Amino acid sequence: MWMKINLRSSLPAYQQIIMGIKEAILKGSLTEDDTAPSIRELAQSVNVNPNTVARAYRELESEGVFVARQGVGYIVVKGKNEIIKTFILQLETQLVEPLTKLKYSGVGLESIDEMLRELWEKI
Amino acid sequence: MFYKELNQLKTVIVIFILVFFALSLTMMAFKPMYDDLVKLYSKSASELSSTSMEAMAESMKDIAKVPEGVSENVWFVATQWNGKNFGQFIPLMALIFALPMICREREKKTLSILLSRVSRKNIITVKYLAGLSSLLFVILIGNITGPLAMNLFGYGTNLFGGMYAFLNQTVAGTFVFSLFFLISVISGEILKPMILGIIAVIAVPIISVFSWASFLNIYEYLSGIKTLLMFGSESVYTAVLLVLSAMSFLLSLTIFEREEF
Amino acid sequence: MNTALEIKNLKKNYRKNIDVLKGISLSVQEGTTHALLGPNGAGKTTLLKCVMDFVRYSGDIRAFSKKPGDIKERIAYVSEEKALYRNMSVIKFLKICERISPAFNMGRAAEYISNFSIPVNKKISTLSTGQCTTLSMISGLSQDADLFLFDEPTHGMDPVSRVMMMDKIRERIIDGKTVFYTSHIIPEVEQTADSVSIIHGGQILFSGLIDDIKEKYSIVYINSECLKEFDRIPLISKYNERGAIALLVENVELYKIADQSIVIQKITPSLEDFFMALIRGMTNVL
Repeated sequence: MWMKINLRSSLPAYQQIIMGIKEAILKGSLTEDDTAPSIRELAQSVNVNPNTVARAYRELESEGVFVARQGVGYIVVKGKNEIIKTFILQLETQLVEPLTKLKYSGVGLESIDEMLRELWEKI
Repeated sequence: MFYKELNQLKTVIVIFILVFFALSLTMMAFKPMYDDLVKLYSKSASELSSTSMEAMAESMKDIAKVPEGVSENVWFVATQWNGKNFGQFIPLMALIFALPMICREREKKTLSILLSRVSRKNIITVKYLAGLSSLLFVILIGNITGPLAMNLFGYGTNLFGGMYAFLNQTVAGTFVFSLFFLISVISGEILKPMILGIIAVIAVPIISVFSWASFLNIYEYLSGIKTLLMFGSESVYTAVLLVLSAMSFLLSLTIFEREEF
Repeated sequence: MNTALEIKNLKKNYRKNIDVLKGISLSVQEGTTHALLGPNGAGKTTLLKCVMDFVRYSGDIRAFSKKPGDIKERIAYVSEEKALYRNMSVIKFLKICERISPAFNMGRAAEYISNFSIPVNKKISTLSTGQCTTLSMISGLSQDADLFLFDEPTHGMDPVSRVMMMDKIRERIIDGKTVFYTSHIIPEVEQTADSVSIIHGGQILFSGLIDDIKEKYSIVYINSECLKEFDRIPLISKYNERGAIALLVENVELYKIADQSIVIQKITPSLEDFFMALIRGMTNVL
């Protein structure tokens, strides 16, 4: 699994790993019943400390995305559809800041809606 | 750690050994002249033909008169440049061995290598033993180079015949070494104590010409002549030097244990 | 998780009554990298020297619940001045290290030497500053220790070697070891450390997980007349920034402010922002 951590991001590294795992599930490179890469493996490939990965995995476990199984590692127990919900939830927190800025600058919800549609088309 | 210390001392050890061997070899040039002197002196004064020869014989009497019970060749080694003055090198050697031990590392800021891996007590003990054993080794070799050179030139001499002063030299060497080791522990730099040390090594025998300071003259003790001729006990002097050495070592240990780096 | 290093109320003053450390408390968890970040003269080096027992101090320091001096073989230390026997060749120095400490792992040292392309037969005195730092770090990293203490581990190194050195440090962490190091290079700390203690003037201003900084704190900019609105909540740091007042606050506290519109701008601090906010708050008193 390949991902790049952006330290400039407002998201802490462990959150970026959570997002990365969820993205992998959404894209289908990790599916239900798959074993997630070990903490050590991922730490080495992502170039972060194992503790950061461990924290991300604990979080994923408490969200119910992973289940820790003794001797095997972390098993993915949620499918694509279930992930979308938590993925959106996480994106929300990222949107809070720009939206706050727009709201206090007096930009109406309609203009934002319009902008979002335009962006969606472009991508 | 002992290995590391010896590694850093080995150049000095080799240089000293080479110097003593060279001195012993040059001494051989004087052997034929010495033999003449011994022959000359063994004749009675009246048989001497010229007054100048007589005067010369008088001045050389001390070295040319071989004491009873001492081999002629051993006496030559003992009285000539190498043997007679070998003891005089010991304080200087002790200085050169002891002084850099701690304060050079302090000056070059390398002590943390040892401090982070070895207990302070062990640092001091190992350094002390490494330096002292190097000094004693050189003293031992320095005692053998004389007889060795004699044998090389065909004058059969007991290889350990020059060892009569070894005990004295060991004790005095230990004493001077311990003293300079203590200074090494205290001092933050190497140059000043080195210069002062050399001055002290030269000045002490000068001061000791005054009778009140004669006990300072360690050179007579170092020469071991008294032992060779078996007169006068030097056990009190020996004991005092050993006690002072031990005190210096313990003081070094205490100071180093309390020091901040 | 167990504590690898526990420092409690550490105080140190040198002669002339200059307090270098004014009651430091921090703990480093086993299996983590903890960075001690601070400006020059903050007391970072002195703190490490206290841990190593190089200087006398008051307070309590425990490594794996024991006195650090009693478990020297479990602690590797690389000093600020990067102590090396400079008249020796690289290989000779490493052999000496092996002789001095039974915990020295020559195999690993050889690996590092080739990784960093240090010329083995060259005399150490001919190496560059960066190479000397690297070699000194190699001598420390090659020890089979459980706790590694590094004082400025990448001083004078080129960017490529820096990244490589940080990777080597991380390898130790992956093996379950603990690293506690000083630095004033913030991006490096952000990249490598799990947690950080920010030290200034002999005091710890913050100690905690780096990831928590982004999650738990905000820097908000306000006009100076609005400052009284913030009287009710604890401010971690406040300072002047180009005419505006900058406040470092905990998010949970910030939400207590009813009228959020007085905030001109709010940012999620990176470690650098957070560090600067703390230091500025100390030096630029309103």
